[in-house]
Amino acid sequence: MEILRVENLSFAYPGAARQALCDVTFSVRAGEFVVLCGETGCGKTTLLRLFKRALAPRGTRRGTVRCFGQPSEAMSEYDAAAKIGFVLQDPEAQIVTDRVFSELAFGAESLGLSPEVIRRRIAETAAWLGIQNWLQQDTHTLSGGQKQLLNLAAVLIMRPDVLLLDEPTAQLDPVASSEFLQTLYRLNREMGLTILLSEHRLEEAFPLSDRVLVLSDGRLAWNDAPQKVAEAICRSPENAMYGALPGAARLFSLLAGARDCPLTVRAGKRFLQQFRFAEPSAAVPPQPFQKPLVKLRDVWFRYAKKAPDVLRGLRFDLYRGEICCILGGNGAGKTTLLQLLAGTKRPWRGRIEAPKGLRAALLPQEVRLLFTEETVQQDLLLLLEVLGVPTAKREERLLEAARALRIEPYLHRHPYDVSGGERQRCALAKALLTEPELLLLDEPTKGLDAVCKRELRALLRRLAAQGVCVLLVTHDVEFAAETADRCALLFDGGVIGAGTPEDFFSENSFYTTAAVRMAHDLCPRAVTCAAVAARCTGKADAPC
Amino acid sequence: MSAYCRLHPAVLFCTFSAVLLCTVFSAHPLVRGLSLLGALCFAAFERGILKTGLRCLPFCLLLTIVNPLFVHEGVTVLFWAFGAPFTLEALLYGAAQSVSLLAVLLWCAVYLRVLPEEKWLYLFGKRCPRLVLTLCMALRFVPLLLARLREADSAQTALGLQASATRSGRVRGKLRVLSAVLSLSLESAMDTALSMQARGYALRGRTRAAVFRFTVRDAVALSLTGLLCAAVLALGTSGGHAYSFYPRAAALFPDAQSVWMCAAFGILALWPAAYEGWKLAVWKFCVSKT
Repeated sequence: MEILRVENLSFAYPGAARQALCDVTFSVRAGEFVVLCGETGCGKTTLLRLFKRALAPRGTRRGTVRCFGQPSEAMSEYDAAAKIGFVLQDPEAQIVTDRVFSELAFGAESLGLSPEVIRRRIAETAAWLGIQNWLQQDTHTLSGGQKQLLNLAAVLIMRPDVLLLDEPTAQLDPVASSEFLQTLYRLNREMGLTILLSEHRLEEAFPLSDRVLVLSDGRLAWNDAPQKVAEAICRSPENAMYGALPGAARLFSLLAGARDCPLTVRAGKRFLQQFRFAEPSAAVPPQPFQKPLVKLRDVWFRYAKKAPDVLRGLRFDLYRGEICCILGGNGAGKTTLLQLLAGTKRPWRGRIEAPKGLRAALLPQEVRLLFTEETVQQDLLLLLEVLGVPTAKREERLLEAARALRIEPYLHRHPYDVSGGERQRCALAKALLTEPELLLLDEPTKGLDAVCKRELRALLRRLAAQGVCVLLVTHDVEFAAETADRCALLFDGGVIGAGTPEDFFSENSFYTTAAVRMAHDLCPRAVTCAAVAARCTGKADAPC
Repeated sequence: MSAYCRLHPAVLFCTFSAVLLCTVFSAHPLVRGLSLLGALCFAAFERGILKTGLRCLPFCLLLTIVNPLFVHEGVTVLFWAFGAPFTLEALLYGAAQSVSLLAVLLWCAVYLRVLPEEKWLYLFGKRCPRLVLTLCMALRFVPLLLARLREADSAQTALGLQASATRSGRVRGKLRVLSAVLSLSLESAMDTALSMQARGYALRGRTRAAVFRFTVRDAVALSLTGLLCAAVLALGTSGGHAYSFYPRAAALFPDAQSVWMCAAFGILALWPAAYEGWKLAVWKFCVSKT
């Protein structure tokens, strides 16, 4: 039974030159778990929103969209609300009321159900999802992952027949995102709920799915089982989606595998059994002694008098011209550390030894909070004015920064009108106008796709080459492995295990890249897929 | 506080309004004193509220002292200050006002715990669920906006946008923080609107999920409150409420009616604390038996 069907769908936003969707045709059968992927701006959100009449954007539409066999315009409002569930990207913005209980009841109240029915549905849904202990809590006290789970529960209470999710894990850390995807998998396997999920994090989404749809520039490029799609993308490595594939699939492509593309770490491990690898090269000799730029000695910090200490006796050094990544779980104190280094907070004990007048620039997680003007250009000019740069030189500095970060096309647009990756570059331009010696980035890869991450990596490398010390705080293990000169883990208030990515990730079993998890016994000290492939010396059964 | 909170919100609301109205509109000092006593006894079950009361105490003492400095009526002169008499009656009047103020503050603090927003909304939301929802949303956005303001302030300071030397520059810096937060909030409000639309907000026939059962205990409590309140009002009309301090402090109990009035109010003000204490004793007894 086809629950969703799209035929020759084309859509263009009003006043837009190019079409957002071009002749898309596919269907989703009952009980399928379908993953929709593609680079930013390919039309995933537009496609998902067209299924639900209440969310459908305005514009010129051609072709048909059918839900449960009838055109989506013909569905009654009640059915459109109850039978199609939709979860958006931002966990904070979707929550409407102040208490968990009333948030869960919101949808059911809209449907006009009686209080007894509502309470019963809340009770059973909360028990199944394991959130029954939160019912009396305030919504602002929940963590990001908990909020998104609450949003999912609030939609499930309305008993939908199909669930549409628009990048639900983009704003979550890896642990919360993995739990969320596992919950979706449970819903699909145990309850038979049809799921259409739009995702960037394909490492986990690919193995869970029955079918993968790849959108590219508004057209449907592939519509097939995940393994076939992975094999097809592997055959064209210049494709934008290549960097988003699971680590096992990328290894398969780099080692020129023939068939049965592996998608999980387990399958990747089995795939690697057939190859031989060279010994690791000798460990890089320790760098010659360099004076640290910033020294943190015995730093203690807590937020309130009676609160526990977030940082306890932290000791760390930062050097010029290096990219340093700090990893760690939620609430470990990573953002606090950045704020201490930027100077907005002071440790109550210990000291931060930095040269006098050290210029530090901090880019927060929510980059939109930095923009206050109508266009990006005005915003940058404002910062130059506050910094006291003479009027004559402002244009020049601005154009220089814009050229370096390639944001000239966006100078006359509103900061909220550009996409996430572009907005981050604009914010970086703002930060670089202050000519910092220490650049602090808080989760810069949140919500970015593979192409944007590659550009960010190149940019950070350029900055480090100019002598800027870059400190990144991130959950993204793969990005850290490929970008950092040094990695460390923030745990229990202190920094543990600082070292090069090879040292750091090879020592870890869990908090490490997919490449290490697959190849640590066969090919030790290779932390990226490219490094593993480079050390491969041929098939194991081939003669020496 | 937990036993008293279990009563039906209508009962809690009626008791609260009755005590508050009597405290504010009755001039009889004993009525006010009993109200304060009741509030203190009840607040004793919750530690935070007494601290709030203690913080207000200096202001109340100030009020007591300030009144005689400005009002010079009254017969009994204690001493001469600044060329004007400092009279006992004025002092007593100031004391009565501050007792009343402290009592009202404590009762409000207590009832903020006992009647959280959802119970208020349950009481008044049956007729207009959308108004209730709007209030819930407003309550949700207050902590969110505060958190965003803190974040934006910290982010913009770190970038040097607030490091202005002049006061007008600093004010402009703060306004920029506010502008960034408002823009972000409006932007994410669109997502909230989408989320509400997706869950059928536009459908007709909205219901409310909260349910509070009205039991026999609630009926007894409500009728008790009603009777006592009526008694206080009726017995005080003959003049008990219009107590006067000047020129001479009137007698506390000019007739039997005022005694009954004070007694009735005493029960009204003290029964929440007594109920709570009784329930606590019963619980301790049950626990000791097992």
